[in-house]
Amino acid sequence: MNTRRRPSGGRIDRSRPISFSFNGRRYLGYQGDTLASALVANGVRLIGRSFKYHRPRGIFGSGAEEPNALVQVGEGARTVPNLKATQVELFEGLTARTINGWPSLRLDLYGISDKLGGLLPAGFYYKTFMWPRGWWARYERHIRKAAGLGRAPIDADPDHYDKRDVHCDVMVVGAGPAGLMAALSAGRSGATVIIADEQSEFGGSLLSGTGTVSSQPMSSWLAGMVEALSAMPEVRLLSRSTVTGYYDHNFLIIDERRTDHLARPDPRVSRERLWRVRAGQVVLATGAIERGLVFADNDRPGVMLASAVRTYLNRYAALPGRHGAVLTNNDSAYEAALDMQAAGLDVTALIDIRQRPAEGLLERAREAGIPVYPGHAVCGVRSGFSGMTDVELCRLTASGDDVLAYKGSVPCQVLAMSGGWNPTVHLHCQSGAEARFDEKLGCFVPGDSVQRARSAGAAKGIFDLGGCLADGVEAGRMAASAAGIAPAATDIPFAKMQEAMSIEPCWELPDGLPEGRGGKKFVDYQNDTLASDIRLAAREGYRSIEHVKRYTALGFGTDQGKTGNINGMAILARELDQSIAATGTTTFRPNYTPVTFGALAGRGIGTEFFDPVRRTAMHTWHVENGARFEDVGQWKRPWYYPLVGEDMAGAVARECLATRKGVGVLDASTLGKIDIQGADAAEFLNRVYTNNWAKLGIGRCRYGLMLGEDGMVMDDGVTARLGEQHYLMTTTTGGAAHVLGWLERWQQTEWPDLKVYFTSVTDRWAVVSMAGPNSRRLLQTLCDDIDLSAEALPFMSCRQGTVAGIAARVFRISFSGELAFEVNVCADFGAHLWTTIMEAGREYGATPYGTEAMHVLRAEKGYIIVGQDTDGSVTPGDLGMDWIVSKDKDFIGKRSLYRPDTIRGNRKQLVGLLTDDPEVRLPEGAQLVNEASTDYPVAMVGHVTSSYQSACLGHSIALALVKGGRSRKGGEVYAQLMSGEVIRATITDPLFYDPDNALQKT
Amino acid sequence: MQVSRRQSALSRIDAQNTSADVSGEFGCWLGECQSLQLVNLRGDPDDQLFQQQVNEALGIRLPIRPNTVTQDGPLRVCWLGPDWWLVMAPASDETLQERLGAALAHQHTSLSDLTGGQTLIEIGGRTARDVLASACTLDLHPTQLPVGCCAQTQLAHTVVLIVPTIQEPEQAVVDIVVRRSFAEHLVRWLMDAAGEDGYAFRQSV
Repeated sequence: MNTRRRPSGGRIDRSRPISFSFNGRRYLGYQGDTLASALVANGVRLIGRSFKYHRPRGIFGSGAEEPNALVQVGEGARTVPNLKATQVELFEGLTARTINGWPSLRLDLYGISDKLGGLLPAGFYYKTFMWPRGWWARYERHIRKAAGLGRAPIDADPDHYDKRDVHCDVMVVGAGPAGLMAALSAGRSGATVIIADEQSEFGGSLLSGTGTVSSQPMSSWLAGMVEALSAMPEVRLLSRSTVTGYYDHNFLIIDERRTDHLARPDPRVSRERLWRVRAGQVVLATGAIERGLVFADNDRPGVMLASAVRTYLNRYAALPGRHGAVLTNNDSAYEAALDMQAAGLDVTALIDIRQRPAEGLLERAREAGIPVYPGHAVCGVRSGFSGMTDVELCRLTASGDDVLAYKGSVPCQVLAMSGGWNPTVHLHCQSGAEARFDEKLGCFVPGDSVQRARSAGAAKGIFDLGGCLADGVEAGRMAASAAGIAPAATDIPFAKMQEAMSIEPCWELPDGLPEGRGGKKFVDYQNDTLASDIRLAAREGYRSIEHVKRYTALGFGTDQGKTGNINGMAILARELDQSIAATGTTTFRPNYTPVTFGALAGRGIGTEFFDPVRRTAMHTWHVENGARFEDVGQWKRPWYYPLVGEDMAGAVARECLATRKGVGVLDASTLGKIDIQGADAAEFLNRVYTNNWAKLGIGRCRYGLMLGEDGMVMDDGVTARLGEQHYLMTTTTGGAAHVLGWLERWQQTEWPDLKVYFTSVTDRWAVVSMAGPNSRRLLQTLCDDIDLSAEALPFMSCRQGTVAGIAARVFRISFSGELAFEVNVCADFGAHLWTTIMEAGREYGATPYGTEAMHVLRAEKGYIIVGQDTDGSVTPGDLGMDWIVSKDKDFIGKRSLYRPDTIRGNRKQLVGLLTDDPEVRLPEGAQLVNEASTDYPVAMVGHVTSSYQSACLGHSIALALVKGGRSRKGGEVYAQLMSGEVIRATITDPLFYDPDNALQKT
Repeated sequence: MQVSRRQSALSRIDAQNTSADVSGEFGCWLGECQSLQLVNLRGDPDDQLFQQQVNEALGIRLPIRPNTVTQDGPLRVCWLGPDWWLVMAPASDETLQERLGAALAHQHTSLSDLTGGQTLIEIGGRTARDVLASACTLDLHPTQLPVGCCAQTQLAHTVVLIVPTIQEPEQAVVDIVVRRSFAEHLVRWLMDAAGEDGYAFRQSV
């Protein structure tokens, strides 16, 4: 079946065939394949179309560097766009399709843009589609369709994701030869180690190599090494785990893909896990990525990195062609040529750009029967229907800058090319450190580390196996030592050492034709950036590599220019006649490879765990009795309790009337409660509240307003005096944490001399509030050790006693204007108290009411809600609450109340509003104007803060902040709605019910 | 609806919930300590009299070193701040708060009964620390947070006090003190995080 599969060898499991589909056709691969290797083995060469020119493209690389082979994997809600086929592990039933190509891959109508290539230079879109002005939106739709990548799933994500916070002494990034040895030597020293590798198995370059380590075949040495690491309890091995980001303070992010390689994942297992690592020391053993060469038509299917060819041959036993050639400017590709020949992939030419390659290399090639062409290059490619058939050979001039002679064509289905190696310095640079250009190696290598980190092996420019193994041992030893752990001795495995790799950097091969005449020379395959585009950018005045990147799209996309960037920078450097070092690189930013939103969100997908949900002790009763809930801060509060068939308005009206006529019962547990103890508690309250607390008696309560330093209302609530030096402060539900922090801040930073302690007791007390004329009678049936009469327990007082057999604090306070009691019990007994009250209350018409009815009842009384009727710009005076502001003492915010702006007469002031039509309710937030005019702009004089239909009063009521409102009572304002409707309202007192406040004192 | 007189903070969680991992095992167990009284104590540690009176009333020393715990059987005192402690004692010690109150009556101190306002959740077993790592940024490794230490931190976006009680890897047990209103959220999170490696509820005393 697999026409291009070698009969034996490789790391695939031939006993486990896998069926998969690509672009609707079924193929067979084996366990251990990637999608790319399986396609190679099936002889599939055309994988996609390019982004801009829609040129046919094939597989180019074998890992994270792949620019071409982007696929959409899976269907429906689980589909993932833009994956690199080289990184997709094969599993039974995998479906993948090409992301570009319309209407189909082979017949791509947009391919016309390739023919028009000369008309589509860098910056084409900027230059062309920006006029006529405003037409971009029309063009954009078509450009996106022509260019776009894969499609994001439309349905909700059905998978779940996990996160882990981990700490370790040594984090090793990459499990190639250097990384493995670093982990081993650090682990043997006793360090806690995490070693992560993005591939499905550990080994890095060892997975694709031939040869031996310590006289063992690479694969068996590798197996032994992984086993040794796995046996260490403090070493954590993470495969399929990409270290995607390196942030400050040695904080790294690992994206572990846990189920994407499985045909039928266990639903318990999270699809991805994001590891958040805080590492003592870091070893970056991230290896190196081969770079391509820039020559005419270098993007044709069949042109591949030499390292990729080796990987397909050795690791996957797949042949990318029947015959092929090698094009190189350095020594490393000779290994590829020898491997090709050994695998039966007939090498028709080894084309070495260098005039004089090392004699030893030539010798080995000749021994293998490979024709070598030193001082030659490829100046063109001939392609058939599905890829390359021949390459055009040319002799270079001595300088290598031009073509000396055309030498005809060489049959070649696969061209393995090597332009040298780029150490993977991405994480090193992300950590804040620099990359430095090494002229001898012809690549950027890591500069000095700026965090507690070091690079090792190929990541720092050591390109031979023996050197990498030795450097890994040393890096692990150094990391352990720097982490404060005495390093243990680790033997360095023996592998063939090489003399320093020889390379003759070459950034663009000549084709002997003037610019624009020959084949396109691609620098960045994914973005279709040509060498000529970079030169054009330079000619048009771009100097900074960052600007050239944005003008030409060099290095954008899902591969982030891993194979082409350095070539592009070098071409720019030459055009600007400056060194590569002076040109520099673009900024390396996280993430190294793309990360899904799911992995980033973790458990934050959906609403269950996005934010904590706080529930009161009575929550179950509310749920079982049909409550609709409202989110108040993190609390779930009953909003209203609709009966069957009842709408919200009906429920709220019923709840309000039941409270005013009988007794309503409210779960008030969520109010913030702060226990205040100490000899100076009263003095402290004096300083944080606007009113006076010196004379509050034990067993009495007082309402207080708290201001910020700016004099604006910050919070309010009732505080009770429980004992000689003991107070209980209540705060708004949402403001509790802030108020406690506020009190602590003032005590700790400004008034440490005041003897007072604060303790949050919000959760300790379950609170049931009973309001209405029957509330006393109801409470009396459950409480026989407190005299609840108006004389013994007057309004704004409190007692300790027993309610429903439970130790309780009873407060006679009211937020409804009715006779009301609040019973506080230990939260463990909250549910019991509530159900007992509801049962006992049956004969008194006890009705549970929610926050909406509570709001209506308090608005009928003109009681404010901080945060609704105030917005951080409202003073007590604005609210008509000067009565609560002491003139005799100092308090936080007092000085600000006497600024010119806070005493001017036309500030927005709290008033009531009554609409002409009692059935019409003003929308909350509606802006108010003085006249119903359409002569815009109309001066706005205020806005509606609260607005309800009052069942008890039989008409709508509203509270509003209106400029100079208190002096305008009886006057009119208009609310102009978005719909065009105009509502007229009359300004009144913000007090609609029981204006003498008699009821709550009965 | 029949409601038992006293209800724990986790009354809404069905303790029959379990999840086994792929091999049918439970990596960790969860439980709630039901018979605890929690007392918040503030006072001046530089005041020898205060220390002495607390030590006498409790029968154990106040921990003065930050983030440490002193313990005598079921009675534990956790350091929460330079002048701030949490006393965890069996509910059966009915005179504890009286004794403390009487001993400290004439000093600048604060005693607040938090029983019912916080609860103690236990998580134990082979994967217990891994489950916590899904929700907590602190290093919970026994070398960093050994028995005898405690830590205040956030777990699943919720403020908690973490007290390791057994640190052997296979039987590790960690106590988590959390405010009552957050307890259900926290336990549901832990159940979700533990589902993959398996969990079961264990009856606590």
